[in-house]
Amino acid sequence: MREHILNVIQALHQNRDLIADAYCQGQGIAPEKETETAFTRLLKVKALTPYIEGSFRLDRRLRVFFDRAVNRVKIYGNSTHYAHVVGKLEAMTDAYQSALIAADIQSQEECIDEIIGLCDEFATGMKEDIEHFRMVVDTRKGFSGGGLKDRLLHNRNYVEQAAQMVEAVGLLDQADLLDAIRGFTELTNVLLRHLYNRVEGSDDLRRRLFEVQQALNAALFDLQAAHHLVEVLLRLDDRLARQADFEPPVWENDDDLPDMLFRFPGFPLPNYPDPNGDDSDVLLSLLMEIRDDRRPSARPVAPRAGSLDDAGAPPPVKPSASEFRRALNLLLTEVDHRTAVISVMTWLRTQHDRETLYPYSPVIWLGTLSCAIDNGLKPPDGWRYQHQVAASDLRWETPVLTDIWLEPDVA
Amino acid sequence: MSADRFHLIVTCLLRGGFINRTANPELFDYLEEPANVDDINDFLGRLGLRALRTGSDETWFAALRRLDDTNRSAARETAVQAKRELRHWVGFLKLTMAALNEPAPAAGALLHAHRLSQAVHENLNLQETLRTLCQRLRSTADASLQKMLESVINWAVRPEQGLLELIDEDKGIYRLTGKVDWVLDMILAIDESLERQASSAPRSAAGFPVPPSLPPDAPDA
Repeated sequence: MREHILNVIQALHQNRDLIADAYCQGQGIAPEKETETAFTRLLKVKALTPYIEGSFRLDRRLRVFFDRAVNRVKIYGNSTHYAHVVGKLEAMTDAYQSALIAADIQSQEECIDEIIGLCDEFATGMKEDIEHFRMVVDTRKGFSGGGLKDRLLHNRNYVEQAAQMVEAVGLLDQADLLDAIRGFTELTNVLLRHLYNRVEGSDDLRRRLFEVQQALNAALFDLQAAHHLVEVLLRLDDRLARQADFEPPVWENDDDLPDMLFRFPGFPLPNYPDPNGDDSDVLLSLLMEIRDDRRPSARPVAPRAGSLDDAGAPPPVKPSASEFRRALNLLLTEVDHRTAVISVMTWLRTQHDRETLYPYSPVIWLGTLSCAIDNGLKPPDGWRYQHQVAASDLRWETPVLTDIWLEPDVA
Repeated sequence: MSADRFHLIVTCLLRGGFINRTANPELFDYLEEPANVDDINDFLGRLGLRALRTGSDETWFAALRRLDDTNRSAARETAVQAKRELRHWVGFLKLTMAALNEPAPAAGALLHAHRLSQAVHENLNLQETLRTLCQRLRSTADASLQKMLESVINWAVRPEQGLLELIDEDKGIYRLTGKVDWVLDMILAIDESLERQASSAPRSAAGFPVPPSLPPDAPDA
């Protein structure tokens, strides 16, 4: 066993440069011809693990070891098992509780340090995961053989992975972490104080988590849109391939026409700016001509509500049938009380029931009454209508109705 | 400078062009200001047009205002044209998807010809797609893969198609233009309409098979 360990240490020692490179380069290192043997040896002793696109990365436990050795804040690397961390957190809480009962202040301090470390580890792991995720998505090399469905599957895996991560981040609020500890008020207070002291400086745990969540959501959104697009493309391609007489849909209803169909195909225009140094005068003058032929920029502004100019909405051009009926009833009541001739115009002008006649002018009422008479409105029994028309010369001028008289029908 | 950008944008839109965030960052930035968009729309409004964004919000183009029957017939004409081109677009996007860095095709993405060629050479399904596309484009389907790829790329670069623009001739690098975003929106609209038809019609009378569910372990056809 001892010899075996010595062999491992020797392998690590002989390839120390490679290990240092692997530790420092988060994106992994790829083997070259002269380092192939070294890579094989390190893989054999499990110091390296395969990473993306044929590159290799330092084994996680080894990285943790180096992190601790060089006092690096970043403790855990890619793919931290969040559930595992929460489990450790719970165990540490129990340990803290025991220390509290035993009144062992030293142990309590250690537990708190450990708990804070775990919280930090949670956030760091998450941040690294999203960075890794984005790096893979961003820098993935083009399609390399396989098939389109592989690519689709690849995307789907990433979507699922991202969805899981978003879900995990949802649990990652500082308050949730403290809830996970199921701690006592005292422990929560102590932790809050420690966390506050710790994050007050540059490294704000909450902010980091928020950033992670935002980045994840953005990446997930983009990826889902891309995924949907690829699915639609492949589905349509499948349909087109299966059906030679495939007919794309016809939009029956004009309102359903998508905006895309209204694209303006364009017309030929001279180049702007002209590559030959010409000032493109023709084009500019054409554009200016169109631009100058615009509506006046000062649009009529509606008067402020309640101001003197505010006359409200314009009235309709003529009274409705019911309004006319009400006004006519008023007129007929007046007729019942009188025996002499009545001038409708005078009655309209002197009528005190303004509310009934509002907002139409006497002229409009007169015109409406005239129309009604033309349409067969009969006068009250024993009365007749008499139109008064003004026109200096009926041969040349259009007669204007000036009044309607209600006269007792003697005949 | 802003007047200059105004002219550039208007000229581009009136030509039926697209303004994409990646391809025309300066012009796109100008359109990020709502006041500038109002200005452009005020101008285009004199011609019965307006500036619209694609669904991805990454590309602007000029569209007819929905005013009268003339515009409706123009829209229907575009739909007919889209139907005619649909097979070409889908085939082309399926091909390019194989060689892009992005998870899905999108305007502004770079297309390396050698990567595309490599992908096609390695994949029989893509070779079939390429052959079918070439047949539809009335190109020689019995030519070598490389020749067919070149003809497809040339077709896409052609101004009347305008799906690709050449970035680096020596290295064979192209960029997907803003039109790709518009095409993708078109495809999504068609798919949505098809899905609606399929869900409203009884399955037996649907007329086309149920869309494949793409099981995770399905081998590539």
